Amino acid sequence: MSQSTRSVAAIQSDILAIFTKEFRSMLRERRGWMIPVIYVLVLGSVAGLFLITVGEQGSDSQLGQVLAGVVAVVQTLALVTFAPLVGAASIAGERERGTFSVLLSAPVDRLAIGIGKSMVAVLYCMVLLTASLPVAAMSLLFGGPDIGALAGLYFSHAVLGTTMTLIGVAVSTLFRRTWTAAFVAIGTTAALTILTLALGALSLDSNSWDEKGVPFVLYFNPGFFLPLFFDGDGSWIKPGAWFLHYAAMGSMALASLGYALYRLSRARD
Amino acid sequence: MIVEVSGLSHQYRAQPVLHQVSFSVPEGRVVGLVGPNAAGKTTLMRALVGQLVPTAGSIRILGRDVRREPKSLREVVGYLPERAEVYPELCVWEYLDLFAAIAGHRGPERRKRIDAALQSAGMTARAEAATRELSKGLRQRLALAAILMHDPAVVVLDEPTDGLDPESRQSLLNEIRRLANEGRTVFLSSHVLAEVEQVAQTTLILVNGQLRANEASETETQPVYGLRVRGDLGSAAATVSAHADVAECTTADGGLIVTLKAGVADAAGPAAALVACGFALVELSEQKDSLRRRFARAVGRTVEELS
Repeated sequence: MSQSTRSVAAIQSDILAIFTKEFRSMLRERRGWMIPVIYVLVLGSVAGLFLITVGEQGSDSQLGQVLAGVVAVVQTLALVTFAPLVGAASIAGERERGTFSVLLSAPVDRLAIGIGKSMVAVLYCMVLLTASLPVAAMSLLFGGPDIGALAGLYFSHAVLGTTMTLIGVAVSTLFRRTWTAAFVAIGTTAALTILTLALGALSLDSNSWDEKGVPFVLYFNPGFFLPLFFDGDGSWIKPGAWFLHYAAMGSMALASLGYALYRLSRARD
Repeated sequence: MIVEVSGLSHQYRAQPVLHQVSFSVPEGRVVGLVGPNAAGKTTLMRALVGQLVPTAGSIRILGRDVRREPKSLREVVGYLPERAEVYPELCVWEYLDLFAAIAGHRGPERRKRIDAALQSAGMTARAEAATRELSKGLRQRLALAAILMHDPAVVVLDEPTDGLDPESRQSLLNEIRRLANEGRTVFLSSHVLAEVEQVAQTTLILVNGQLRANEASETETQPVYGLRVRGDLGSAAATVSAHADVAECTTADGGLIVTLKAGVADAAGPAAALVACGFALVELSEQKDSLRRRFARAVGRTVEELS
């Protein structure tokens, strides 16, 4: 076995060790079950409120559309809020508890620490998404959007969740207090949402979207996919826009992961 | 020499924390590191394990440069930082399993390692217990067992007995002695001089970032004598202090503690001076130059002041 093969095998083994530890911790920590419970309660309450309001006036088909719309909006807000929170706890939490120095001085590859922790944070975010599946499935029963549109929504949410979580992990490497990291991470994702939207709106004044397409900055907006979901055919968006949106999200996710790994490679404690 | 430190200096925001620290340590030794608060003990330990890049100087452990080969260094050094904590949500064997996996142990070998670690930490019966339910002493022993999973040749322990009850403290000191008997070099920092004296073969005394005493000075230990006289103790102390052979003279327990200058063979000279001045010499005994006394000298205080 060559030196590089051995080294790759060692990194894989380290990633598995960190992943296993993080997964065990995630399942047993209070936040592990608290966040999904709060999320499902909020989603259920909002969906219930809308159903009661619309149910008195509208048809079944409207009910389905409303339910799917509630899932789309509430889940987007939840991902922009909770996903960075989950990522923010990954490194800062260890520093705060005093466990990080021991881990850093162990013969574990720093790359493995970053990747293992990021994988579990992203996996947790996906668990959060599955928690809303029963509510989303109900929209199909009420004649809401077709299953393809719903699958598209969940794919967009998965991309968004991954990006927001990794932004949280990157921010987490900068701080020693979990709450500081959490505030900064949520602030970062909120700023990303508001700024890209504001800059996009400014472009609207001077350009015609029909001629020039979507302002570039909007591809980076976490809620980019929502108009398509509500607009139905999304005719105002030129072909390829979805690819550009996912590419923008993916580049932010990779940049965040790269930054987190860079910070960890230089971390002393 | 397994550890070689040369001209090590470090500054925090232009404030010197370590200044020209140099020493070397052979394998299988327990090296005590003592000093007043803010003397630079933790900084020195963090530099030894590569968690701090010193401003100047070099550290070589088993021939590896700490600054240039941090990854390879982590394979031969185990570090238990001050106030280290274990993961509270894991159980005892899971915590050990993490470090066994990181150390590269697989399958039955990993199970064997974990069992051995549980046994050496005296925690076999508590393997399934959550670490948050353990006492501080047991958590320290567990953390120590974990950092030994990769068989480090050098173990660095920063105040490991801090906050432990006497029984846990003694148990940890016994474990440290066992590590040295296995051929590992152990660095132990502590505020409790008696426990350092109990296990350390070499003691480094750090004061204001400077090494005031190390093994080299130990070999040139200044002889210390206890003298009991009849008469005014203050005058007797003044007489002895004025003698050319005497480095320091203090009073303690109704007698004199006389530290002679290095190279002086015995206390015959000061004793004769006392007799010549009319004091009746009741007792003269050679005393071990205790760490407490050496520490007092290093920090420029008397043993009584330390008490």
